[in-house]
Amino acid sequence: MGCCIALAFLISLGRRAWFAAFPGRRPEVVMFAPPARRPAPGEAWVRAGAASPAASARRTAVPGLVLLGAGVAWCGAGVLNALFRHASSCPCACCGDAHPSLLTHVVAHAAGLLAMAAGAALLAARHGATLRTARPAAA
Amino acid sequence: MTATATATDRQVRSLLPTSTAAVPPVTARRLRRTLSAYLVLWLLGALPGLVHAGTSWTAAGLGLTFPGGGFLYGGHPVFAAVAVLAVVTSVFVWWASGPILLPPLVWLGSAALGAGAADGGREWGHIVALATGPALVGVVFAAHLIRHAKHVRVGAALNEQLRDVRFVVTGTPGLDVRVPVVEHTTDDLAHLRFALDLALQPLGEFVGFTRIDQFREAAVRYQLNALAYCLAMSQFTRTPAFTGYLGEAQRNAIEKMLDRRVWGYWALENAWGNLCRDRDPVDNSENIMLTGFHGVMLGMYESLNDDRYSRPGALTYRWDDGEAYPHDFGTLAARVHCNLTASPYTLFPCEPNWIYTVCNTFGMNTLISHDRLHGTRYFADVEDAVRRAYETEFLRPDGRIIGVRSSHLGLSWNFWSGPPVQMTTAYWMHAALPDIAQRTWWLLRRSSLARRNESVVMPLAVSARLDPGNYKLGTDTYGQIVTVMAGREVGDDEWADAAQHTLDTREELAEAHGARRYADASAFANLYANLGRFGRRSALRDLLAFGTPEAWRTGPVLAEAAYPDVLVAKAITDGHALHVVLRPGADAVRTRVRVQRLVPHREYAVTGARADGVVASAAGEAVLELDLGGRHELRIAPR
Repeated sequence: MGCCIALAFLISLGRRAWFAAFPGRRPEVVMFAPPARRPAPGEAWVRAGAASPAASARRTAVPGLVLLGAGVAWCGAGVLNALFRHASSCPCACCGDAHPSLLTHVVAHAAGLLAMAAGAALLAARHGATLRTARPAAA
Repeated sequence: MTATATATDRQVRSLLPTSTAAVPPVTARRLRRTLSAYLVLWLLGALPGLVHAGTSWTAAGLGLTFPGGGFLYGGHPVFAAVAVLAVVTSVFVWWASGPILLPPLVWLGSAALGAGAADGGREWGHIVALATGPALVGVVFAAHLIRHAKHVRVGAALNEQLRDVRFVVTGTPGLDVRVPVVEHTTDDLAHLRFALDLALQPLGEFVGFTRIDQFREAAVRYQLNALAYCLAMSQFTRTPAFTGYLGEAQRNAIEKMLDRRVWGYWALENAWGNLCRDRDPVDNSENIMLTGFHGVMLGMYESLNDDRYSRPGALTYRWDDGEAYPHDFGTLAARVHCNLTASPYTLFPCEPNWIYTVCNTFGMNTLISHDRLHGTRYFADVEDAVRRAYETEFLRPDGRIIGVRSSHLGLSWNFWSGPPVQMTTAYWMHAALPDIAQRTWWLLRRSSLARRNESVVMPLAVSARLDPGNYKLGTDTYGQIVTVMAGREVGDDEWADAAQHTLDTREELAEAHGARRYADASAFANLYANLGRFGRRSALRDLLAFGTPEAWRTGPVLAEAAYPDVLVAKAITDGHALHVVLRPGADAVRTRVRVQRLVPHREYAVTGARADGVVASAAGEAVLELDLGGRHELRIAPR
């Protein structure tokens, strides 16, 4: 289980580096609720307009899903190929006619893992899953 | 520790249990069952190899004896490692959100893949696959025995010191003894406004809440819990005679819990954790993470305000137009009591199967507040069993509380249960089991916390540097916050002040429209920071176990004021008169406030308003007009 915390920590570091390099990609999170108002006794209460959801929630999920799907397919093809030794059907043509080692396949298809991770990160960002909070416009 | 003893306080000694059993009794039964099941699985898995059933069958069987065993047999160690990792990950997901079928499915799936991948058996793989599981069990058990022996030695040494320590278990506070109702500072009011703005938005809106997932610690329900708790604590220690928007904010937090987006996680967890399609979040044998936590919100609210949530059906968890689960404070408390009585461990699970010690403290607090308010004897009925559970099944011999245990398997892992989790548990335990809570704090202060100049230093462990409200690693802000909470509650103001000083001098602040929060902490952590900020010695215990003085329940209250124009820094009644301290939320303003629970038709003298006297209406109300430009005192007393 210690490895899970280590993994979470690495992901946290990776996200931090990513957002440092591309600050515009940081998902917007609202730190404060809209200012509430309640009237004095006898005054009419006019409710302020509903707050708009965070901009990040309006982002499309398509790029994330495409990346995730492509990564799963790429890895899956490599793993199945390696498992059943149908080298000639390998879509990456990394092996030719030879029967490669499983390690070769894992390495050759590692790009799929990266694509899956990138896709998952995009989807997480879309849903406002952020480890850091952004400044409110009013602050 | 600072101590202001009252006549009802008593001093107690609290030694660590000295049982030498390496595994406590209920856990031992569960572990025997788990190991028996594994033994059967291992024998079944070994059988194909013994009868030479062929490569694929042998690999499949070895995949059952240990995850990845089939891959090892087939000569694929990399995939064997992946299979182990997959099973470990599936257990982690089971722990995190409860899908009980996931680990066995992943294990079986890896065995099937191992069978498919095997095109020739390796003798070394066969031996390693068969030996790894039993060897691992043996190593883990041996390691546990060694660690247990060490913990027993540490516990014995600690008991030598604990023999000379007397903990003060506070009794019921008198109106003039520990009650001090203090005044909010302007800093307090700014932090309070963060919570008020969150709570006073429309019921269906959740702007400003952290939204990551609805299963673990960042779930919105925990933020709503903390929101109601800090608002109630603010009312209890600062403004007990102010209902107004402060009461409305607490009601909003309570009723936001009824939103399907908040409690609907249970439908999923019950389905994939118990294979049960019943969605009722209360009427089940688990889910104390809702019943216990929601129950404490209700107990606090009813202690300070009114009993509306005790009326039948007052809390309806609605799934859709045709499906709703009507409950109330009484059904929640009864369910917690029933589950504590029925569970073999006494403590019962949050997520299906997983029993958390900290969550069960909320169940206890629900019971003690309900007992006091409604004359039930739920907690008295289970107190001995609960105490026994905390002292045996969920306590290491060195006094460290075991954070979680699997009710099915008996297993536990405590790597994540660092000082902040222990302190959170101590804080919430103080109302019902104050001696254990104070002993836990005493142990933590000795073993885990350090002081450097005016600040508190947390251990470097990863578990002490996690904000559970957004899963952010690398910060001890949450640890500092719960140090304030727990230190304040047990009367150790020196450490609470030091932790507050650490937060004040180190944390970056964010401000918007008069509200203030710690910029880099989660919403959950900020709300807990408010809980600590508004706390005092035994505040939680007083509020939940003893309630409020009679005068507070019958005397005049400030029932209506404009927000944020009128900030209430203090509001107190002696049963007849009302004393209020107000501050403007922004600019100077002429405004009106409504006072209730006056004696109908009685004449009152007023200071601090435009009129110097008022006659209460037939409903016992009066509206006063005043000019608010700075700190402003308002007094109303019978002539």
